[in-house]
Amino acid sequence: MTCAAQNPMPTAAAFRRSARQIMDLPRMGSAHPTRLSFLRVLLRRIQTQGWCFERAVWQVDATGVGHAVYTITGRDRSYSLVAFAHDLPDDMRSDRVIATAWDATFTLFDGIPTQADIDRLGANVPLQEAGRITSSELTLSRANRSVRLFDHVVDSLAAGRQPDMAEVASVGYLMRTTAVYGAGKFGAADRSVIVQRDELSGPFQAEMLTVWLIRQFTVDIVEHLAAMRGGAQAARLDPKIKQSLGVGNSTGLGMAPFLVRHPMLLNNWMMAREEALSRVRAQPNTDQTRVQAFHAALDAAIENAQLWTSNHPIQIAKLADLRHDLDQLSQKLETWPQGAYPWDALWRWADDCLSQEGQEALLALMLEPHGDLIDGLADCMTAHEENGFFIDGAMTIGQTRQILADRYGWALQMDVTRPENNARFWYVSEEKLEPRLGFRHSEDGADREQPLCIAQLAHALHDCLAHQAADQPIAQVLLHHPEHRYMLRRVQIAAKHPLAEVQANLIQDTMLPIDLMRCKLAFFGASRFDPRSDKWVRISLFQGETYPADLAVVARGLSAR
Amino acid sequence: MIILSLNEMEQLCQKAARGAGLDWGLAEEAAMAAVWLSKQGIDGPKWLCHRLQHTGLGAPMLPWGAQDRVQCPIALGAALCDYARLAQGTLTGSAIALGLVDSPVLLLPFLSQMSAIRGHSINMTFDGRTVQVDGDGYSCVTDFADIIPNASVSIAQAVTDGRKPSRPESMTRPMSSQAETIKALEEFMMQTLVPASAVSRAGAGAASDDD
Repeated sequence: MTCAAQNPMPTAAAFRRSARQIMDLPRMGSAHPTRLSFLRVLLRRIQTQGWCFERAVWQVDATGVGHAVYTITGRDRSYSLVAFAHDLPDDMRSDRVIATAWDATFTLFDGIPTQADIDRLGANVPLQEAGRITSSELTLSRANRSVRLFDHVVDSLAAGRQPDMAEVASVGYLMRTTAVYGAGKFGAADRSVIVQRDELSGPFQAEMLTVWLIRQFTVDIVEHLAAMRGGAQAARLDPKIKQSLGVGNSTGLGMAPFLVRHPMLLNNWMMAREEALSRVRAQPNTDQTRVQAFHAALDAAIENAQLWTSNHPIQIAKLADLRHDLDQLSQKLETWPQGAYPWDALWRWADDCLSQEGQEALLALMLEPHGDLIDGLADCMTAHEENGFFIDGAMTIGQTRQILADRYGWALQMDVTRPENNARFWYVSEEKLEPRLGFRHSEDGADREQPLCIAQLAHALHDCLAHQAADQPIAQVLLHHPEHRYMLRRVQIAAKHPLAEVQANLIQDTMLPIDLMRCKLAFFGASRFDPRSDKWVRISLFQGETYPADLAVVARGLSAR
Repeated sequence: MIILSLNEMEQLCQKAARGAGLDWGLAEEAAMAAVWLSKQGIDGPKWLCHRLQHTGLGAPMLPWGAQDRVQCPIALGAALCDYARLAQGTLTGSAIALGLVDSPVLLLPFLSQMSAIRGHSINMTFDGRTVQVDGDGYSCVTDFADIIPNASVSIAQAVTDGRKPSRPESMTRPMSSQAETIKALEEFMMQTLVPASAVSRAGAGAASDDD
């Protein structure tokens, strides 16, 4: 099946980047959020459709312990964040997935919860992984306070003052989530429950909605604690400061394997973004409105790059590249646009003159003034993964070899026998089933390796097929070599999905897991990517965006489901 | 009884199957089969657990039925689907003997897939009963609670009159599973996990909570 007939802009295909370039891991690790990022898609929908919001319950005591319910109502349904606020001793505060207690815990309820629902959730949600939720809940999440900023903001507001802007800017959030579980985890509703709903069918929409509502909670709880402490003299957060605050997120290796485990989804995310870039490059000319919007986006990016800090040597270098490149871009714009295909000309200039960091930032900037041209692509970013499950056993060995050559040339070129190319292994720890990465020759567990070493698996399949008759069906190989079934399924997916594979050796000694994470987080819409090692990062979500409380008050009486 | 989401069931079954020694690709098939059965109102995880407790099963062979050992229903089912578009997968009204199959109810999801590919319903006969399978599900009056551990199985193209035979109502939420089934699957899954160590923990997540 092909969608070619529905493509509104077939001319864009000529401007498409190659898979080799797009799926290069260091380039993926330079990804920037764009207007196709999932939180932007969510906010556009909410604003376009005029969703309503209400803080339906706020039962939090003077010590900050209690619960709250935030209900947001869209065109067809309501969803409620049920938040539990806890009094967590400082020595128990940990962002690790292996933690067992948090400052606040959350679930996104499908509809409007009754008191019985809240009682049931109160017995389970604070336990997180050790509790159970049901098909009435869509997500499970928790957050910890920023020790540095949270107390400073409460103290300041209680004393009737605004917090110090430098402090606010240096952290950027009051609380950070340490996991947002969806898609059936811990008993929650399966994705099949929401996949038919327009508002949640896109990737990670329920998770993004959860985090956006959590952002409201983080502000409400500091203002509440300040009012409890300061009484009548307590101040409320200045709207500008409030807008500059996002929700932090602390993410470890657990996120990294996702893109490898979901090849069709990865393809569709990348394809939508690349098609968007191609459409912009394919514009024969531009107009003043778009050019002005582009300049405005660049100004915002320059400001963001100034506020974006990191102590990690890799990120420090990347930030220097970014600032330098944005500077170059500013100068370039003094004589741009000129001639035909101005956006393509700008892109070609960047290809010659900017670092990967700058090029990927430019991609995001070029999409910004072209919503009318590209926003519809957000509908193409989901994947029906069950369609990729079936293996066509009638495919011949010759055809399979050809797909391997076409799609896995990057892998087959590697010498996977070299020690540095086989140095590590992905595994799952007994500790809360956390995915981890170890060194093969110095750590235990390589006999329990996860199949994320795609380059090596491609080699193994290639070698197995080398001396077999080309006209024989692949079913015959699978009958005798079931060990290649996993990779063959991927190969058949990749045949139809050219951007399905990260084109990198994922067990090489110098591979950076944070590159996988940055790509995924950029698709979420995360900003201020701040790696703390090569394996875990902090980011911010929704910084600079509106709040749920900015929406109209909810119209009561809409059906819950 | 514990109500697992379909995603949890799929993940647990896949890891358990891998832990029990199935290759990754077949572990995916095992999980698919368990979830398919659950959606049909059959306790898929229980039957998978039953299968995983048996070792030394025979691999499928051509011609079907040539294997004289009891066969793994996952490997056999996957092979039948792989051959569904080929001569060896052609079914007629005459039954093809598949030989002895462990936990034969686990073949149903694969026969459903095969039926969808071949465009006709399939009759599976075992232990004196016949189940009709099509691309959507199965029909029979048996509740599968008392299926014997293994049986001689044969399959044939089903002759249908175009009407859908009655079948259990498809469920959007899977059958609940007994706690002992989940515990047994978790024990298999443990074989895929690496014990915690300080080296393993280091660097994988936030080491400090400085801000």
